[in-house]
Amino acid sequence: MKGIKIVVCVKQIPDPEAPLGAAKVDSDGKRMDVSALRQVINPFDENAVEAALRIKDEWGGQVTVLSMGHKLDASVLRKVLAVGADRLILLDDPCFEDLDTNSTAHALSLAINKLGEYDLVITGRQAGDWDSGQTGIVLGEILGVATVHLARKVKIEDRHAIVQKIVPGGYEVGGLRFPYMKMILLSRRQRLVTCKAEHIELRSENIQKMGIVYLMPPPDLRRQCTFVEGTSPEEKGQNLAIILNREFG
Amino acid sequence: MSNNGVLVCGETREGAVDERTLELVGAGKGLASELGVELSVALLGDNISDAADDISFFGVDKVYKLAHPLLGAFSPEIWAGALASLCKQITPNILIMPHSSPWMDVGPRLAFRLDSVLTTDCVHLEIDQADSLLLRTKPVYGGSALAVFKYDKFPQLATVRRNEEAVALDKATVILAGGRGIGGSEGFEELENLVNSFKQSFDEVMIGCSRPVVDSGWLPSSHQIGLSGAMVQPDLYVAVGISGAVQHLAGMARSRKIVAVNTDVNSNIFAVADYGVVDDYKKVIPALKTKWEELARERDKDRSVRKTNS
Ligand SMILES: Cc1cc2nc3c(=O)[nH]c(=O)nc-3n(C[C@H](O)[C@H](O)[C@H](O)COP(=O)(O)OP(=O)(O)OC[C@H]3O[C@@H](n4cnc5c(N)ncnc54)[C@H](O)[C@@H]3O)c2cc1C
Ligand SMILES: Nc1ncnc2c1ncn2[C@@H]1O[C@H](COP(=O)(O)O)[C@@H](O)[C@H]1O
Repeated sequence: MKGIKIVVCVKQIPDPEAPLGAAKVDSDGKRMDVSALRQVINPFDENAVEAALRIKDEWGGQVTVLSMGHKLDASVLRKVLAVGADRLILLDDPCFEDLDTNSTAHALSLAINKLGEYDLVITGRQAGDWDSGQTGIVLGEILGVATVHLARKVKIEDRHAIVQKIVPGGYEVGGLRFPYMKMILLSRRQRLVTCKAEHIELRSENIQKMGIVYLMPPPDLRRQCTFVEGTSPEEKGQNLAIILNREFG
Repeated sequence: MSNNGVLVCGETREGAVDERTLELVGAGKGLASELGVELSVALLGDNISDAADDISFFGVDKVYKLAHPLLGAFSPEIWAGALASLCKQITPNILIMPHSSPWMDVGPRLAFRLDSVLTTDCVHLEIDQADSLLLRTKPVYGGSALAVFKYDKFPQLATVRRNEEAVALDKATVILAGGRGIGGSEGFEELENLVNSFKQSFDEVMIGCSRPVVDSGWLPSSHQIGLSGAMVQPDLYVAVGISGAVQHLAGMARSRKIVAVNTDVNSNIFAVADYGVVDDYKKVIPALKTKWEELARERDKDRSVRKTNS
């Protein structure tokens, strides 16, 4: 069997795991101030890259990573090359910012069709910025291919993709492999393809922005924490039992 | 046949309308009365006549029964297809769905097929008085902000937050939750032991966890608490070896009392906790368990003494 051609869609976002309060509503109440955050690959998309690499490990083939946005940071996204993806394609254009789901999926579909043949497209479950979780499904609708939502494991058998889904009560296994130092260095020199909207022939009627009316800070979740005293962990555990007994006993 | 009303997509469980669909009917009713339009419910399935009869008790103007053997087993393509045809016929103004994994699979397809825009995981819906459009409030950036969206495409689509995977978890009185700091599936035995002694004193005691625990395969995803897991509000939430990422807080910060056990005093989890223990859980939890059992025995003794005295 010849190698499998896989496209993985990866979004670059402000670190969603930064401490509470690091991402905040800008003073105009219309956008998020994320200047304090570093840019990362959306964690769910790292899982998507890992799923693709496992198939490549077994069957050989080519993994192409597609990332769309504005002012993308190649040094963040090159990580996918360092772990074994073959190609990284950046779709970088001011008009790619803050697109709604249908427009995002439409633009990605144009790029995927430009790439030529593919066997499998993998996306993350949701992007940790707007937490929408729709793009992969709409992309499948546009491409006209069968789409499995919440996949946890993909295997290829007989040129068919066997996809396990997460079901309530099931297991989910994630995480991206670590790169070898040599691969990190090599990936820095690898050539990147950068496209703009006109290269994928994106038409203006397919550029619709998210309809944000306004943003608000979240309800304040902070509480006054009483630290349990004790000279040893055991004593702290006992004192905690006494406190809980007072509260609930 | 066009009704321009509010349409609620419901779920049935074993032939009956599930209680969360009724919550959604409640939300839909508010929107419909604000707009002065009809409230309808669409039920999909193989045999849904009983459920359809039941739901008419809840102040619904119309029930659309989409009954077909092919709709019996859940298939997102077929469900989206059936609903898209219904929407083309009755042109609802607003269509709301539960934010659950099946509807998260159907919703985006429906939005695409109807050339509309879906907002997922809404926590609040209201009508903009100025233009009668739906204002959709949802947490973004893991819960670091609430965003309000509005689109003038119809039907106006939203999935509404609820705790589908948490059917069991959201009944708990106590949740003992472990994070990456637990270090492995063996570590959860320490929490299991504590579950057993808490069970003597509390109605329900359950194990929860953070996402890395599920990612590492230490526990099934039904235990995950947070943005992409269950949203819970137990009387007592004990977070052990959990750092307190916003996505985790989204699921548990409304618990009545929160206790955190973490080796790092700077952990964010302490910011939302009522009580904090800064130390290694491996030593803290067994000591807590032993002392709790001792106190429970004393409580029982006191009670029986009081009983014999009275
Ligand atoms: C879109 C999106 C959705 C997400 N959804 C969820 C979700 O639903 N639920 C969720 O939980 N996460 C979710 N996450 C992940 C979240 O951002 C964090 O990565 C995750 O919550 C961290 O889990 P943790 O606290 O267990 O691990 P860590 O952040 O690694 O924290 C481990 C903690 O254990 C402590 N520790 C270590 N050893 C010990 C010891 N011996 N005793 C006591 N303490 C110890 C450490 O000090 C540390 O604070 C989501 C992320 C994204 C981007
Ligand atoms: N701008 C983008 N570039 C590449 N992939 C994207 C982009 N936006 C969304 N995706 C993919 O679609 C998934 C779901 O995104 P979302 O619908 O925004 O939550 C993400 O996990 C990515 O895999």
